[in-house]
Amino acid sequence: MEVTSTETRAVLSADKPVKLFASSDERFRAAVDSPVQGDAPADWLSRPGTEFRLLNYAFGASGSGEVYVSRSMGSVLDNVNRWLKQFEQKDLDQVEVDALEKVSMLGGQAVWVQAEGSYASGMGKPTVEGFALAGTIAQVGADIYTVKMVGPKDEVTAERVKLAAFVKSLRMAE
Amino acid sequence: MVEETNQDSSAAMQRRKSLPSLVFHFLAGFPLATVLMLILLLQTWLATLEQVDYGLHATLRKYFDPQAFYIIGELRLPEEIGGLALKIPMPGGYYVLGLFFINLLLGGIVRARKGWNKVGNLISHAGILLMILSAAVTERTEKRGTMDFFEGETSNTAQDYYEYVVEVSEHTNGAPKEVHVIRGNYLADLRGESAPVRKVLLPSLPFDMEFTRYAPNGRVMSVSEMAPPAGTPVLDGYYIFDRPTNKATEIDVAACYAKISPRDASSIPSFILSGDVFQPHTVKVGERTFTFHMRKLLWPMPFSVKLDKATAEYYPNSTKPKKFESIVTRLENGSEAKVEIKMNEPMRYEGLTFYQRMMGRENAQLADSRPYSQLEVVKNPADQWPFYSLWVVTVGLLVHLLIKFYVFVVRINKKRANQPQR
Repeated sequence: MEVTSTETRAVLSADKPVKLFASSDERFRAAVDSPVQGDAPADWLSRPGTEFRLLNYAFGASGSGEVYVSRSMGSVLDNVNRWLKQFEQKDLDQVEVDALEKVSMLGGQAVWVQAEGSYASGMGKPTVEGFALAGTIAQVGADIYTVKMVGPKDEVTAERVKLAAFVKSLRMAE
Repeated sequence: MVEETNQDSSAAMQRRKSLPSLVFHFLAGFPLATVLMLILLLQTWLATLEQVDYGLHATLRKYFDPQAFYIIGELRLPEEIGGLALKIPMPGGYYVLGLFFINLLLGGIVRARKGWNKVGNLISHAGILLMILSAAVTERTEKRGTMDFFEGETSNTAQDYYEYVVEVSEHTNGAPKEVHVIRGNYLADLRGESAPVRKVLLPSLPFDMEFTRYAPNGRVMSVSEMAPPAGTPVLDGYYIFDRPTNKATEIDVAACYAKISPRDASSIPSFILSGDVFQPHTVKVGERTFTFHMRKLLWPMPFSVKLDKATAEYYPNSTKPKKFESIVTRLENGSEAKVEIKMNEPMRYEGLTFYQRMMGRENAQLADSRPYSQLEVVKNPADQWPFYSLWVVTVGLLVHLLIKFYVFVVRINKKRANQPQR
């Protein structure tokens, strides 16, 4: 299982300056601030953002409820159906998505998505029963922004009003 | 009785044919051509259906890769009739095309009847041969990558679409001097929990490296975000979560576990390499400082390209591009040339083709943020051959049609001339 490598290349324009001796956190976590800001309820626990979560919160007594703001790919329709699929629900077509409730978000209109049942996040986590989803998906310029709340059904139901207020408070960072 | 005699005679003729002659007639024959074209038709159809589920790149590799000597095509029946997936074994498309090339060369050129009235046929067959040849040359030599830059930036680099490599650089005075490249083919087979460890000897460096558990689409996760699956190595609070690959494999992000073995026998902790990091890993070996970086293979261009202006227009209320245009300056040996690169209007220069691929802004929400452009860079000597081959086939068919028409007219005139005058 030994091989020898002697290939080299010259330094190119793509070789940008780097930070030497960066820690694992500096290497693997985004150091940039989120482009989105919002006023989260006081009882939501703020968590560090991740590569895919611009804003990240935990809520509820069970400790398994979470809310996060992401920038996503695809269309609003794609994202609605991706979420519904996580709850084993059938895909919607464009007409059905257009008929969903609308809320204001980041200067545009977002669709409000709800689902409940078995939740399979697809991130290697096991499927959990009795979960619910509430969230919004909006096309803002060329990007798709999502706010997703998932957790035990009772806890999500109890937090929906706060979630709506949080979505309304979202704004682009200066 | 007469029939028996004919059969005997035919058998005798067959016996008289030498083995090379039989092979030639088999390879040049219509039966083989028919079978090969049917297989190609089936493969094209199945690959078109399969790429919806598995992605274009993966499907093309499955059906037409030179390493695929045989393939199992998959045909999924509609749900209404059971939704069964039929498995259809067949030879690899690369070799079917190769055999078809030989068949057409022998049957359509070498053995074909020659003559002035067959010129069109021969030209058309030559055009199809050129088309198949271009596919083989493309398979063997083509390189594809992207060049990304913001307005005002200059680039002399293309980044490969698919291949992740490990780069090792020694830093003196804070900057790298030269970059050692460990190619992806040394890593790609180190998959899964029971992956072996591959030692890569680096003779010009004071250490060798070891790699294991390569994930073609691995995400580096913090244990604080998600508990690692049992048996997954955790290094400094992080581990590699091995995700399924995407249909569009170019968006996969590779990762692996790495270790360096200094020749002075000192011990240095293992670390994670990922294509999705903000900084490289740094290690001090003696008094020398080295960085370790996993990224897509970079290839230098023979000239530099400066992005002067990037223009993106979209259809109203959609992200569908209406117009993408990059105005660039090509810089080479002190000379400059302005070029406009638009959708379907690439820049071709020194064997490279630059297509307009993507456009965007540093911050999509701010109209005055810096625009960027992504060009697709293709190096393929056969780039234009399919285009030429279509012209050759067209000319051949046209010549054939004109000859047939001429023969028809001559025959009619002869017939009229031979008819008795009233």
